[in-house]
Amino acid sequence: MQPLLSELVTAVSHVLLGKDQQVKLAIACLIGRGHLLIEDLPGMGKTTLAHCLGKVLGLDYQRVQFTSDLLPADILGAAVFDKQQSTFNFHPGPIFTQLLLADEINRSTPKTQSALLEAMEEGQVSIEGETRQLPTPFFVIATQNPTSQSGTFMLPESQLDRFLMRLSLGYPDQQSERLLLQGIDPRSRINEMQPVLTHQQLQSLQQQVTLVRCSDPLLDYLQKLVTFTREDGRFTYGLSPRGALAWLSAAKAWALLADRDYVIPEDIQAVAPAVLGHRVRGDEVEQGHEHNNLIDYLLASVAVI
Amino acid sequence: MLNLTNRLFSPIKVLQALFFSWVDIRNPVATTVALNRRNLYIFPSLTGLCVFTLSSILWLLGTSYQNNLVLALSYLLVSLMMVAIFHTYANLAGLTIKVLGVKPVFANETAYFSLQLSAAQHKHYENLTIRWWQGEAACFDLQPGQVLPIQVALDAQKRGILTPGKLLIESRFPLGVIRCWTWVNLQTSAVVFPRPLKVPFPVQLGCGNAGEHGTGGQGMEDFDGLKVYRPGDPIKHIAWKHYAREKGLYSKQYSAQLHQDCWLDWQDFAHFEVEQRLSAICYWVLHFERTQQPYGLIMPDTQIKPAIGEQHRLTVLTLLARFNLARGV
Amino acid sequence: MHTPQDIFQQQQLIRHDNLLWLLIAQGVVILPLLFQLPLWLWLIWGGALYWRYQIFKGKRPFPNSISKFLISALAIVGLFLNYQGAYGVEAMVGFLVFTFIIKLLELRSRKDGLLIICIGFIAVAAQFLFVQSIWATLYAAFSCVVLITAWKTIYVTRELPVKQKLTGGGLLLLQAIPLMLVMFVVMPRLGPLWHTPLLNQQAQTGFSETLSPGDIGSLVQSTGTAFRVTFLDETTPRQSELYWRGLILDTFDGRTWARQSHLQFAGAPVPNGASQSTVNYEILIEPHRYPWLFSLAEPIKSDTGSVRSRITSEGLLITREPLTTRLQYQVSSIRPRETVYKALSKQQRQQLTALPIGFNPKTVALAESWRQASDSAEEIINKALAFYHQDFHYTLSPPLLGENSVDDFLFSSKQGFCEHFASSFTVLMRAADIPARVVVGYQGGRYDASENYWSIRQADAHAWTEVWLAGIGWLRVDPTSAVAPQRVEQGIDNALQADDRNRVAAGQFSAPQWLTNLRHRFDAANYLWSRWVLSYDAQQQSQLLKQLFGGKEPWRIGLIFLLFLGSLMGAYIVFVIRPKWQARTPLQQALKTFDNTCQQWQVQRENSETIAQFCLRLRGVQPQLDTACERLARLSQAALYDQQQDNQKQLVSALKQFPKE
Repeated sequence: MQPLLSELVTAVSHVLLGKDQQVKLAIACLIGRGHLLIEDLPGMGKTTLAHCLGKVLGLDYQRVQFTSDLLPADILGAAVFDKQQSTFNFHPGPIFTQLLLADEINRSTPKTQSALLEAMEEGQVSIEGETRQLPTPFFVIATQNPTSQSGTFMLPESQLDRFLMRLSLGYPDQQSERLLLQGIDPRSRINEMQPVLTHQQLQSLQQQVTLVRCSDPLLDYLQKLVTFTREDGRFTYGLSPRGALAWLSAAKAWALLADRDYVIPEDIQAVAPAVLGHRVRGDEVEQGHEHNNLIDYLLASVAVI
Repeated sequence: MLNLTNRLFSPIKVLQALFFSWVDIRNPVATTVALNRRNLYIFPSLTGLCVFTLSSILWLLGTSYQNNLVLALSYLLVSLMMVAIFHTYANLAGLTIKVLGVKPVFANETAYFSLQLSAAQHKHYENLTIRWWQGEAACFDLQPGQVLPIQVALDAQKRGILTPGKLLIESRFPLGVIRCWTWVNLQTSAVVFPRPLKVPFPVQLGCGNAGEHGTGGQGMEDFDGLKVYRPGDPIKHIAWKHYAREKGLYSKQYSAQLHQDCWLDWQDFAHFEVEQRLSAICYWVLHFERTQQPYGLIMPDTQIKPAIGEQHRLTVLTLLARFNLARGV
Repeated sequence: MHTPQDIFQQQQLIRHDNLLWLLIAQGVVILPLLFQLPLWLWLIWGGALYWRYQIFKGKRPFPNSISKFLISALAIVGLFLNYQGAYGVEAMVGFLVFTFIIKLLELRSRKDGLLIICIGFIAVAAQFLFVQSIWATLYAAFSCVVLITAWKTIYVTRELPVKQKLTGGGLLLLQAIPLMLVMFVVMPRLGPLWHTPLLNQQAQTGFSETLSPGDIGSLVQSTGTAFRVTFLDETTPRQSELYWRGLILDTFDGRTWARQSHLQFAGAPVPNGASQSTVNYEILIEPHRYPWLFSLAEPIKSDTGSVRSRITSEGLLITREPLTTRLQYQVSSIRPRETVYKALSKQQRQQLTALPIGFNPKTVALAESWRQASDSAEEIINKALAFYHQDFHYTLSPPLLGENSVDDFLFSSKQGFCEHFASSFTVLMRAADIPARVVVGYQGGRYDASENYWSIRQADAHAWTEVWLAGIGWLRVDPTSAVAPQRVEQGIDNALQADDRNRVAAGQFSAPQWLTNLRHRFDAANYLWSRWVLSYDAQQQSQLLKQLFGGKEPWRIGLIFLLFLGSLMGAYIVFVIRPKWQARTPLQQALKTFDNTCQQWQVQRENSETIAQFCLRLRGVQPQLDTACERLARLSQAALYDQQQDNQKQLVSALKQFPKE
């Protein structure tokens, strides 16, 4: 498996320079059958990453720009009256694709957001009483502006939970930026990219993720971590069982990326920021503690063995 | 410590200072402290002294009357005190104190330091008292295995960084004859913002009608231009007129009206002395936050761009709180 | 921010459940005392309780200082009147109980609560001044449990069921008892530090300083133990030899025997040196508030510990002060036959043959006739005993006697108890010009085989005669034995008719067998209690310490305390720390070893580091550990997370055998 996956990573990293970790996490997220939320400032390469992933995975790709007046029908599609045949024809919305890039998802109203998120969860949409199956595989890569920008609707916790991971790309380092500046426009590179995986290969990869083994000491560790989030006073609320499951499957995908068929604590730790970042919330304490980052605090507090 | 040296002229204070310096060596500053025999101190309390006196009285009585049972009762009291040593110690040992943090406060308010106490398994903790060295005491019990977040109050007297110093945790359970306590050095400090001081806004600042609500509300948006339609753009933003003229599908772009930015300049408040200046700026920060008007800050050494929101407010106020603080305080 | 609990804490107020417990504790503690004190204290207690309840209900305020002063003044006057100004223990205890009760009315803060507890302990001690029996001690232990519970309640803020609270208090007491026992045994004992006021209310028990017909007859009807004896030698005297001499009465007024106004504190009789077969015994006597102690004739040596005493020329053991506390003393006696007596002076002889003139003419005449018909004093004695043997009757209920009591007894009623026989016999002897005196004491006793001691009860009270024979000295003659030999040989319960026996010791002798057995067991327990606990003194202590530890030097006692603490520590390690250690899995133990090893390498494993991560870091710092680190990293991953094969044991041994510095 390793060659295929490393080829995948290399291909994407070739376009998105200096972001190996994020690329790997994104791929782990997708082969772990999860949706991805990217939170960053504009122009950091969110779209590039999404586009790139769509290309190399050989998936159909659609992009929706979310705005405050976007309606559910704008995403899901609507029945349009056909004058010639005097019937309603269904015009599928952009959601009917294999990879959907939902740009600036927190700019739209909660109503629209939830329409999308429900579709993400169920893998199908109901329009005017008719249930329509979404294509498989179905991935959503949503981007979100950092919080506290005006005119945004924060995604509620219950909906954030639908995303397996939340990433933030951040600025490239000096070297990567220089390469970026010297090189060709990434967009043109994307157009040149060839799919690395076939549908069958993708599915078999996804299947393999579920087969990755977890030993008892590892599950002990995971449970200790989860319990800690529920008991420790710095956490406003603990991790839900669904969150714990998500964490495990992300760790499994990560293990597979490392060409292992069993999970080790390092996997758990590696995916923790991406998986937990949007799932746990701490007391809004500004300072007075050495671990200002809640996740660091969690990992540092719980003994591995 | 500063406070201590100022009025260091009574022997008790000297002893206490000596004791504290010894405690400091034994208990380094930490964010998590587990109580055990290394950091717990035990000594008979005043009540214990009284009970010991009582025991002596009974001993004299028993000896005078050659009454063995009275003697036994006297020894029983001493023995109870000995047993109480273990009980009192056990009532604190195994407890873990962790700093959760503290929310910033304004000067003259009370800072509530959030601590988390975790009990050992299979053990009740009865009637513990906790307070900062110069703060007010709070009492609590703990069930076995309980994790209890508590807040320990300390008055924030002046602007700056409030370091609470030592934390006292004390127990006299079960008989009050023995006092077991510890002084914990916790690594935590609170930011104390200047106390808001209402002053008129310096007029020379180009902030328009400062103090009134900005006219640009959420719904008022200006047409900005057209851009090529992409799937997912709202239908009602489609420029239908352009489409009818078969010029292609375009979306209308709107942009929110920009507020006029206000600048809070250190120099504008020059007619106040330093602390009052900080207080005045603080007042206006709060005011702009209330009125949702973006504001920036210009200090002698730094400058913060205009913005608005919780994060921005904290940045600005923290900067004010930390302004010109002597190092190491 | 402040919960009500906080407010109570900060102002140190008494909480309601706390108040209730204090009231209960107080009630339990003063209950036995109230029976010893004036009745009106009950009223005050009831009143105070009611008032405090009203305060609790909010219907009445706390008393102000004027009313407190008035109540106190009244009570002091009351106590003064009650005890007629006698400065004694009862008055002081009365005052203590009064303050204790009145303190209720100002009970509002935690400090007051503590004061109540302290006074409570003093009250328990005061109770011991009155009674020290096993029952009283058990009750006191119960009082202590309640007191400790109430005490603890002051410092417990959470709600607990009553049973759990009491268990907590009891547990604390139980834990305190071992150390208390150690202290009780080894702490140095001192004699009384100063003259202490006595209990004045307590009645004197046993016989008085005079003897009239019927005195002993009524004494034997009372219950109670006079004293208990353990013989220290291997052979003990026969029961018929056990004449416990207490008091000698040597003047007679025709009806009542009394002793001379002053007791002669003179040298003891001297052993004649022929034989030295002494009888050694230890007596534990109940306080009877008289100055005499009991011994077998003739005591030559005694040890009464801290109580000052001496042996008189009459062979009696007398203390300086009336006996108010239980006393344990040892006596060595020699048999009278082996004693050399100083000859009687003329004055003494005159005194010991004196009789009131004009009383009992028939008796005097009879004795005169015997004297003229006999050659020796022995013959007269035998005649007299034979006279008694004829048709006299031993009974607890003799008919009343007239003015010439001896005449009436000897010639008409012929029914009497031991004092009748002893009295008449002595009169007969004196009339026959033989010096004689009445001895009052106890005879016999009940032997308890299980604890090897003799219990001498009030029912064993007895009177007999001692006569002076020239050349021999004092000779004991018991005329009762001529009438009822069983009295001397088997004890009083076998010497009397059934209806008389029912009256002895308030009918205890005719109780069913099981009850008697039970009573005997309890008496044995009381004996042990008195002997080992109540009379444990400096002397017993030094003996015991010598036996157990070979001495009572301070360093030994210090060592005992250290040993005691050491054994506590040991128990703590065995029962608390070791189980914790053992609860850890082999892997956890191995990890601990590994972490210790790594501290030598100056690298410490972080909480969040796996073994593999740590090994990687360690390799960077200590390159020479390259192979070991790599192996351990591989092994740890395989054993813990891969788990394809079971190689946890390998990991454990690898962790333990990690190279040390």
